[in-house]
Amino acid sequence: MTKRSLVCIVDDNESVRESLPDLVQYGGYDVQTFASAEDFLASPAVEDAACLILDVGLPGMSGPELQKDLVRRGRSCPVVFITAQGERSLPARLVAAGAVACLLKPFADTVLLDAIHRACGRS
Amino acid sequence: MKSPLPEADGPEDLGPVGAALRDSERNSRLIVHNIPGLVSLLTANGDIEMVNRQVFQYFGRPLDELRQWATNDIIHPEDLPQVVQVFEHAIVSGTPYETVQRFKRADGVYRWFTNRGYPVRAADGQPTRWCVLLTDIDERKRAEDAVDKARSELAHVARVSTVNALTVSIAHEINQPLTGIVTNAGTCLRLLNADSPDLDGARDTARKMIRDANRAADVIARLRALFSKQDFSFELLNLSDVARDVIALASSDLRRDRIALQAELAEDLGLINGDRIQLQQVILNLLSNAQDAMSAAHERARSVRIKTELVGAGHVRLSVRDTGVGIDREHMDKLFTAFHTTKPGGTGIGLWISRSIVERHHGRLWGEPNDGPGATFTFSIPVPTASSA
Repeated sequence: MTKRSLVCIVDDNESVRESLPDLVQYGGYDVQTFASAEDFLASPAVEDAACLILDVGLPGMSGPELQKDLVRRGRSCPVVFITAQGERSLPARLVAAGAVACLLKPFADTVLLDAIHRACGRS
Repeated sequence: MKSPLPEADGPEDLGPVGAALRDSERNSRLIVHNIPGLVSLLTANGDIEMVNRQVFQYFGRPLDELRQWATNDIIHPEDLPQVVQVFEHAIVSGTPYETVQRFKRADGVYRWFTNRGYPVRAADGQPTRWCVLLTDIDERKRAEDAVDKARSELAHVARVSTVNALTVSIAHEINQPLTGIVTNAGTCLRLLNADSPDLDGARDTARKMIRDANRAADVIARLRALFSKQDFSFELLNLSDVARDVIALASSDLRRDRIALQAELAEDLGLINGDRIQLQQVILNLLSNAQDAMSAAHERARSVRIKTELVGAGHVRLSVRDTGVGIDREHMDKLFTAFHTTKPGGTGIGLWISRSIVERHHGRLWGEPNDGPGATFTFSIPVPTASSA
């Protein structure tokens, strides 16, 4: 059996950290969750993540800041942003800046799995 | 145009007394016809007897038409009912009147005037005549109306932007548990629809859905609590007294956290018009924020200073200064938005409510980083002036 890709979820909201892992695991991935960008950067998962699901409005270092920081470290991996901020132009800007997708909460389960599949090169 | 004032005529030579009388009459006529205002003289029951030159020039109508002011269009139809009411009351009661109203100029344009009438009384006090002065205030009135309009538009914008900010905050807060519910429901269906359904997994996701739905309900309950406490009861207060009430409540709590409290309460503060309970809440909120900010600052001396002062003549000011973790200037504004919190377990509405309470007192609430460690939060409330008290 081949090793499953690791998807890391970084979101300060508990409802999100509790619900997303079941779905992502069901979709065929390993999952780890983090409450902040700093927690993620301090973990070994930085080296292993195949895809990041990243909240935009994290306290401390924001989602887009984390993405830039990883690029600077040469550790960039595909990012799917999620956000509860209703700003209309945000998804287009983040995708233009290199994100796989930016999903507005609440999003459909199929939409999230599609984005992860694309990020991990499955379709 | 023929002068409406009867020309003084009669014998040429009345002697020195007659000459003085004629000079006096000439002067009166000079005043009446050249005064910068529209003057008319009315009978005791309010009929127009005589008007000055400016009246004819402004209205461009003969005296007969001016006398019909209550039934033609020389007074703006919107103003007429009120003018008739005020005027009739004055004539019946014999007391002076004043109205602000529009009169139609000869070219058809309505302009704003003050219309003031004073009774001329006989020895027994009964009015025998009325002197009426119409003063053109059109430019001033339009400028005032423009200012009023701008002010009410500004108030509307402020209300709308508060509501918008609140809507964004609520949407943000509710969308989080909704994400949990939608995702859990999706996972639940997948687990049930599999060839060999995972019932334990499905039950687990259903339980998580219930928890998320309750979290959404909590957000609503918090908002409801917030908006039901909107009843204010205003009285004249000394802000130093209110601060002392709060210090009495909070001091044992502060001692337990080994925080030194320093009170600098001015005795000669002006009285403000305020709600004691609501202002206590604001001060308590600032104190408890200071306390929280210092619980994370281990290596420093913990002290909080609460100070009241009269600023200029117009405002009383209360500030709470701590030696806690402090706040970046750039994050200061965010602290006052609903549901924004930097504290674990914080609701993020304390400062937001505090600011709305202070604003209900026509005051301001703001925060600043200290030069040294910590931050200072201050609110100021205007002292009512004698005329508005």
